[in-house]
Amino acid sequence: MSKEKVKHNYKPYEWALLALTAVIAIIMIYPVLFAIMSAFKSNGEILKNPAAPPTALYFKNFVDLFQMSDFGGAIINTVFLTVFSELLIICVVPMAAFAITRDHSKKSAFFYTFFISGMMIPFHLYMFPLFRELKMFGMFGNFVGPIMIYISGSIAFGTLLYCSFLKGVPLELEEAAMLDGYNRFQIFWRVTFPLLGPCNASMIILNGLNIWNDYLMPYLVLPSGKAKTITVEIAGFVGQFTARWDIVFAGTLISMIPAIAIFVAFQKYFVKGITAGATKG
Amino acid sequence: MKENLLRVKKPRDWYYWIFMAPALLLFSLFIVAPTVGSVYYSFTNWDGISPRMNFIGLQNYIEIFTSARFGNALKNTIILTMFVSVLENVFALALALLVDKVIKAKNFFRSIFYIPVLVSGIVSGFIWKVMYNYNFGVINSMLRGMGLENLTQDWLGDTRFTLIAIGTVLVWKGVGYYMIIYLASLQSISADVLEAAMIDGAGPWQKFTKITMPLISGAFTVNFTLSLINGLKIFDQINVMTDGGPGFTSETLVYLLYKVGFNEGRQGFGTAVGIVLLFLILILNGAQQKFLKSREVQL
Amino acid sequence: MKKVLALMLIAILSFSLFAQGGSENGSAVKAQDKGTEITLVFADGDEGAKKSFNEIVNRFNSTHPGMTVTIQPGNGGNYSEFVKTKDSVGEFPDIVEMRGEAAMYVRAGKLAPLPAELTDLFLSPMVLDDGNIYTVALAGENTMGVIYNKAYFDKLGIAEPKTYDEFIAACEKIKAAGEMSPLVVGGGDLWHMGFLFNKVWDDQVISKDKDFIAHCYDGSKNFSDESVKAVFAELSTIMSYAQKGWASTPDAQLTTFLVNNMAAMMYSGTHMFSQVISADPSFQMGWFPVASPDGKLRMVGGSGISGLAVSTECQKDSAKWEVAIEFLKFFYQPENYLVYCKALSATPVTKNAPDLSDNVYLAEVIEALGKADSLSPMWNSKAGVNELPPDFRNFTYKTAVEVLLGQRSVDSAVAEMNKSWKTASMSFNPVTGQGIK
Repeated sequence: MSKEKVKHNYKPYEWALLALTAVIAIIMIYPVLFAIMSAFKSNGEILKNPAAPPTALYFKNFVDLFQMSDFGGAIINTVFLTVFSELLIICVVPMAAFAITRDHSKKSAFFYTFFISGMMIPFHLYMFPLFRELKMFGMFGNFVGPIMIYISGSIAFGTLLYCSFLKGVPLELEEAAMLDGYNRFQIFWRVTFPLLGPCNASMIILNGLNIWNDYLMPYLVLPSGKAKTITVEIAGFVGQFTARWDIVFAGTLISMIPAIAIFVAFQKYFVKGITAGATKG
Repeated sequence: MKENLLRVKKPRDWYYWIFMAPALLLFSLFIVAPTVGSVYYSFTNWDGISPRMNFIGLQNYIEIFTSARFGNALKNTIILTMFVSVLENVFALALALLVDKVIKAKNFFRSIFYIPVLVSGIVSGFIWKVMYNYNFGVINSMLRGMGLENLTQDWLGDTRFTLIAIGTVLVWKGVGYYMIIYLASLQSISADVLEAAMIDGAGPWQKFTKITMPLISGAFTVNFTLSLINGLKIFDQINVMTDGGPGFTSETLVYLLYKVGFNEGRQGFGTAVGIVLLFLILILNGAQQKFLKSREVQL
Repeated sequence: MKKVLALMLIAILSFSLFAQGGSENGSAVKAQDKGTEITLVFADGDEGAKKSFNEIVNRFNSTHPGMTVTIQPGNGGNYSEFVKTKDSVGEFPDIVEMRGEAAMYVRAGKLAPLPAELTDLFLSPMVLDDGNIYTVALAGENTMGVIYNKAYFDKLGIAEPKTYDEFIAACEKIKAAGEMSPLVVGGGDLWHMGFLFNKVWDDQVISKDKDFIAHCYDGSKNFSDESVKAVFAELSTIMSYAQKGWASTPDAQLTTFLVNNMAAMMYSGTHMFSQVISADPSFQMGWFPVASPDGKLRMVGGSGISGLAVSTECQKDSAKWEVAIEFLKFFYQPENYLVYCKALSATPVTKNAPDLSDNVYLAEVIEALGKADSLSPMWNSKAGVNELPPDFRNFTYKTAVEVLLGQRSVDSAVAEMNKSWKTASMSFNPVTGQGIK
């Protein structure tokens, strides 16, 4: 903020730095631009003239995408899965983190490590037994299974995030509330939870993105014969014998728009959440 | 350490368990239980299809440590993980410093660097697979356009480049994430400290090594740990781009466990590979935590 | 932040209502007039297969009141994995297309023996050791041969090669001309490597010992055999004419090479005819089978174990079983089967075969099949004592790629194969019965 006062009197090396940053930015964004450009080209053009920009406004890929797969249904499913899972996640995980951070006992320390070690277990190791378990509970072939998997999968990272954030939330407010006769639930939901906004935002952006982009699990678990998720439908166009890259990139473009929009809109909360968690601890 | 200052009355136990219950239940049911289940499968010769399976003791584990294929997958995993986590951290820190210092459009650049993170793993594999293609890919086509014909390579098919090519995709996709954490950490360094150092006559390099580096060591620990774990678990890109090939060139442990278990009808053996991988992650992580923690400055 | 949360809450509630409402109507209405419903799963990665299956299923559903066949799409990806997952969670379909793993599913008791009223329709269905038939082939084993650029062959004055030496000479000539690579190979897809591998395996190993694999199981032979080394030699010779970048080229790109004059030949199955024609209808295509170095003509043909099968679960429900058998009989009626054979340029396997004479390429293939000195299914599509251990096919292809890329010598490759065979045959050996009973 203090820099605002300084007159625009930059040194040459600062301009060089800007140029360097811009060059790196172009390199970083190029593959995404490539995908976007290819979304407006035919499969043949993508292969023959990969670097060329689209020659005309060509929307056939998008038409094909919606005609050859139930992409509309897939969008609804993906939104539903992401939003519903995240809503439950930002209730379940902070509650546990609250218990862990507000009770400095051996069991809290144990649960903290227990949850965080979940990050280290590769999903592919346990997915087969997991699917059998889901089948047993009747959670296979519907949306309940994936939502349960997403919530449990978020606990490891969520514990890390919420615990570090909660450690930084001043206890004075909670203590005052306790003196006012609030019980533990009231303290959590009325005093602490409303303070978690930035942390929730970063959880939603970081974790929600994984759900939005997930492939293997929804591909295997969601009911067959119906639309699945955006990523699964996109991948469906890369078959064993034919690859419709044009349609794949059209789908990619559509799937990225909300992700980018949400990131751009929420990035203030996002960075705030991380910063608060990392420094107040 | 503030914990002792902030003394809070211990919540009564039943409250504790109610707060804990949903997370604990879901975590145990959908992560711990199936993991324990897979430990059992790793001692069997289950093919993944028949209802029958025999308990074969340590046979799968003995095979793991005598088979060249496991050794190869282990080697690939280590190379790829090291490549990815080192480069990710170097580039992420560099980008964070650039974004922190850049004179214009800070937020714009930060967003641009973060956008690859938003691409799904499998889609990033598709994009780069098309770009890497020897005959039709944009990378070789650009090289040819610049008259650098002799630099064109079969990026995914030439065994010298396959792992690097995959690693590059992962670094590209991951670097923005770690940059954000470094950036947050850099921006938390108070201007006063840096000003004080300047008054004391510290140059930019000294300022960086003596003040900035120690103060972001917490972020470094977090980032290195995350990138290491993510590196060991890479799956989507390999699945889409090379299917573990050519030959066994890009077959990592996760991919081996998946291939053998799902495609080649040896679920028992595949699971045993997974258990070994899990132990590897735990050991590496423990060692690295210990090493980095000892160097970390407590804020 | 509160506002954001509240907005999200509203969004979710409306979504969940919407989503639930949608699915309820959908299933409630249909369940009533569908009658007996059975599920069908097939490898729908190929557009032609997808279209023709849909067409035949629609015909069946509209002419058979009270019976419904529902296709469950495979969503791309790896087919055998897909079937396996369906099975592991108890959603094994009623009718399922089986690939090479059929024998494994039979052993696991997942597939039902098919009745004579169905199997009698076929020329030479695959009979397993127990005397039962579990699969009816969709087509004769995908016959391999070279699809080539006729215009370019004419330009260089190359006649259609009749012998192995002529084939190599043609490759040499195209290579020397330097305008395009002689052969395009999709080494990025392992199963594509299987096409060429199977040819050289037939040429070098099966020609000398039809039961080589069985002899490996009983221990009288192993992969250090000279004939196996010759496999790698012949494979290396042919692959020296492959396009640069073959190791990462996916099968899906091969037609692009061919129709854009980037390669003159490709070695693949008859299913490629329709793909080449649809990629460029004006392309002048030719086809020839590649003879063995010893002068004989050995071709992939006949029925392997791959094909459509019915699950034991389905068999237990007599109403479903009836629909399944009825559908299969319907599928192979000439006018319906024609749709499938046309779309995939497949050689028919039924006695009352559909008329495909208007497909000149296929006619040529069928003629060659008649002249061939030996016909056999792919090496991984055999049953009985010559059935491969589950993971051995892919292992071999990967090892072959290593040899072709110069990562491994032939000697070390056969040593690795022996080692892998040893572990594999410990848990699966049809000769001793290990892993079978």
